[in-house]
Amino acid sequence: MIVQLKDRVCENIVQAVDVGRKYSLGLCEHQALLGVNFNLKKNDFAAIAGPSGSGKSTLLNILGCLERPSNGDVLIEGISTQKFNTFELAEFRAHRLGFIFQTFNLIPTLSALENVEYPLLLLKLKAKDRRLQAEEALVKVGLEKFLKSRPNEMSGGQRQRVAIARAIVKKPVLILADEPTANLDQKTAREILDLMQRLNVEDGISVLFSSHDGEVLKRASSVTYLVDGQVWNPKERGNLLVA
Amino acid sequence: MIASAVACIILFEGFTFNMVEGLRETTIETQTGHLQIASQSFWEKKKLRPKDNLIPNYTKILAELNRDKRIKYAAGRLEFFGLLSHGDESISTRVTTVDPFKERSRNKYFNFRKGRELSHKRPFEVAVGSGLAKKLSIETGSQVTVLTHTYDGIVNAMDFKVSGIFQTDIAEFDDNTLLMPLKTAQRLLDTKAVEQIVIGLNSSRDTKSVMESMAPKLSSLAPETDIKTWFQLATLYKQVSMFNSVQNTIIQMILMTLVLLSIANTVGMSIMERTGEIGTLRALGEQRASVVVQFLFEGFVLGTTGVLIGTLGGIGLAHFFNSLNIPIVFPGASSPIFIKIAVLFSAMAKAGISGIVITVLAALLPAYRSAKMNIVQALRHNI
Repeated sequence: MIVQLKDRVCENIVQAVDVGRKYSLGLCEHQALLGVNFNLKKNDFAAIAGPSGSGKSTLLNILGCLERPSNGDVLIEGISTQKFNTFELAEFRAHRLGFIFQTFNLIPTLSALENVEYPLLLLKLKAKDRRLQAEEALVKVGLEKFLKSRPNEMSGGQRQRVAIARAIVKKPVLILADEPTANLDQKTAREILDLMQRLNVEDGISVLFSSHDGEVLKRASSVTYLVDGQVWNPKERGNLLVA
Repeated sequence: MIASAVACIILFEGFTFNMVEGLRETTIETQTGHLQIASQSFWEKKKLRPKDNLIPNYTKILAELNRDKRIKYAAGRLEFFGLLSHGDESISTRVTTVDPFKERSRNKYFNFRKGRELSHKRPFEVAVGSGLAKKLSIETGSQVTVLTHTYDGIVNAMDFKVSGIFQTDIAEFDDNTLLMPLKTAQRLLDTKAVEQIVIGLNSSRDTKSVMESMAPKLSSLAPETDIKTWFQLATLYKQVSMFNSVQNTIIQMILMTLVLLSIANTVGMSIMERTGEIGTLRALGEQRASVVVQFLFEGFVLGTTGVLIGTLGGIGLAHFFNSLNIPIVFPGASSPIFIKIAVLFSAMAKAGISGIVITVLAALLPAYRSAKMNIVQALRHNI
């Protein structure tokens, strides 16, 4: 499956087709997403916006193959992920997707370099190649002096840069970032967005991030708004003030 | 926990091994020998007339046995009950014979506390067990009388001088037994035959092979006889050995259950603490099986480290306890013995392998649960 995708040229990096997601909360059911249709084109720097509880994270998780939709399908580079089993989904994430989390999610016992090396370990690269590529990624995010530092020895901005290096090191087709600047001060948030934009332009990696911060959303080439689990279309549903 | 359990198993196995080994050697050397030859009727205790149990041509069998270099000694034996009198007091006694010349090597196991061992040069001297001597206030040099029936049913008695007082590790033997030279006993019982032929070997490991090589020769020399091993005859040894084996197994099971619960708890806690980490790794593309293998490997490392520390601790403690010379009296023993703990490779291997296997098993369920964890939920646990 990964081999099939490797040299695939496809206009749409990711497509959500009528995606719905239902959660059971005891006896109640909560419809987190309903009939979501979404397209992300190659080299896009796109955002998903919406208030808290609108389904942004759920949509990102489904597009990132971290969870399955209750109905509908997600196509990555034109291939349906509906029939992928758990093993194939993990393999797919390892090869094609990069993740940046709001809380950085670095492994606390590993150094910055080892954290960045980890995704390459999953790709079974040789130790020497892993080290070289991880160093390159850390240089690219401006952390060449922090190779040996542990996450608890770095600031929030530096940790997020390590997380970005970890996401780009395997040269994914898509980076999914769930509120990547939410835990950072404004100056650092700007720097992180600058970096993500630069990587998008220089390396041609498509980026999809979620945010409810108007300043952050201004940077996106396109924004999809979600309200109550549905895509909000201003023409159909009137105006909505996004916080 | 693993280290303590492994050390305990090594100490306990070493302790019981030495105890059971000691009992085995004492039983063989003071009572059964390695092999015994006697008539079928003697073994089956069917004949009411003891005379029918005798082996008349035992010297021919002895001559055949003495050709085998694996045999340390082979001697005829008579065992009977008589009345032992000293002064005004009398008591029923079990008399067992020794051939003082052929069975010299057995003397050290009788552990003569007072006096000296029997000698073929002093046919009218007997040795008395310490418990029996105490009951009749017998000292070395005391004059005693043994009254019994001959094989023809005639009452006969002889006076003896007590040459020594012995004390084996088996109290029941010391409380009832009198040792008498074989030739003297034959005279007292008015017979030239013996009831049993007792064979002592240079090595206990040869027991089976000597028995197998002797069986066809016996069937031509004395077809009415049968040969039995010490194990078939040593009832007390078998009971003690079986008891210790069951006891060891139960103790090991308890220890390993504690290890299992403790490790499952430790690995479970570790997984709880690392839920966010597991979620991150799975999001990055780590396979479920790899997560399981990682935690199993952790369990293996934990187990191996524990086993190594426990083994070294067990060996150290065994040497420490051996150096203390702690006296202990076992049930059925006549005197205290010093605690000696054997450092057994088999015990180390058993404790080590079971320690590692249990640790890995203990990690299996929590590891499997961690791998099945929902990635999105796991990611919500902050790192």
